[in-house]
Amino acid sequence: MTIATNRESITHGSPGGARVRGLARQVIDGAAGTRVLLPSDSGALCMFNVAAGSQIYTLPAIGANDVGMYFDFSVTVTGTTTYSIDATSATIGGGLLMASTTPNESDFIPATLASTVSIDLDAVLTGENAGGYFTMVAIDTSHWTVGGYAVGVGTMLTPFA
Amino acid sequence: MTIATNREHLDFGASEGSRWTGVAKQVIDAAGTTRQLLVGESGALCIFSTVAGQIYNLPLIGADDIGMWFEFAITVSGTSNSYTINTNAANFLSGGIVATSTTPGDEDVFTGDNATDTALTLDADVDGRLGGGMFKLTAVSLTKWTIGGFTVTTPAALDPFS
Repeated sequence: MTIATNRESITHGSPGGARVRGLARQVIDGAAGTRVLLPSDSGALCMFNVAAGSQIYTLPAIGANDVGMYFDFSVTVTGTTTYSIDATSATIGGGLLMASTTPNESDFIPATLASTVSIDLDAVLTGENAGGYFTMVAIDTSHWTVGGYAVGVGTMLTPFA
Repeated sequence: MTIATNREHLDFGASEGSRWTGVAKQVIDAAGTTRQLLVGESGALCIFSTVAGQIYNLPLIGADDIGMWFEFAITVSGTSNSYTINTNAANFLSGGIVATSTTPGDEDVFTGDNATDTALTLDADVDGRLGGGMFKLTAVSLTKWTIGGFTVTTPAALDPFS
């Protein structure tokens, strides 16, 4: 098991585990421009909802005690310029189901763990349409993994760069 | 940034964040027809398992409720009536859901319209009431829920939002 050790622990680590209900998570309603995410934002739902403005989320560097932090992303308004997520000193593995509203054109496109540094939803073919939802988790000090789906029209292309 | 302020704080707000282990979430397996979900049940996994249909009503989003969420899993395919999720009349659905079809080429994507959609109605195989579907709804403003996840349909999928 890997879990950060120097973070404030909100459970007592009892062998029977813990329980919780009635939680509210942080919602980051991004404005146009760049929003630098912080380790303390981990667990937030980050919105892509500024159609005409380039909206960029920069992931935090993954420190030794940041493995396991995660962010969810939801596209609620179809973009017309660029929705982007940039890793800083890390790369991105995993992949996305690129869901097309055109029959037989959906595809699963993997990221390249060794070299992918950003997810760019900058056209309908790369998944900037409303409906996308995916999660990114820091799996070690130099890698994120992504899972979920982006939405577009036509033959889907890779959003990874 | 938006986060509820009047809720019980489990962490002290340390800049490096917090951690938890071994957490078990609430599971709501509502037999029968209609189950009103409560603000205090946020984070629960809500099960659709009654073949004759089931309804979950989401709570009204209050000023301190942004960020609450509910997850849904269809564990038994519906065979009559509907698996339905209703918002309060003052709240609307945004985001979208992938309809995965067991029929090749019939997958599709549907979205809430942010303005008028108040229900997700899975009332036929083509609407996604088959077992295997799983999705999450999160309150992102005073008037909107956003949805993410997938349903399972057969054959061609139809829009479950209304």
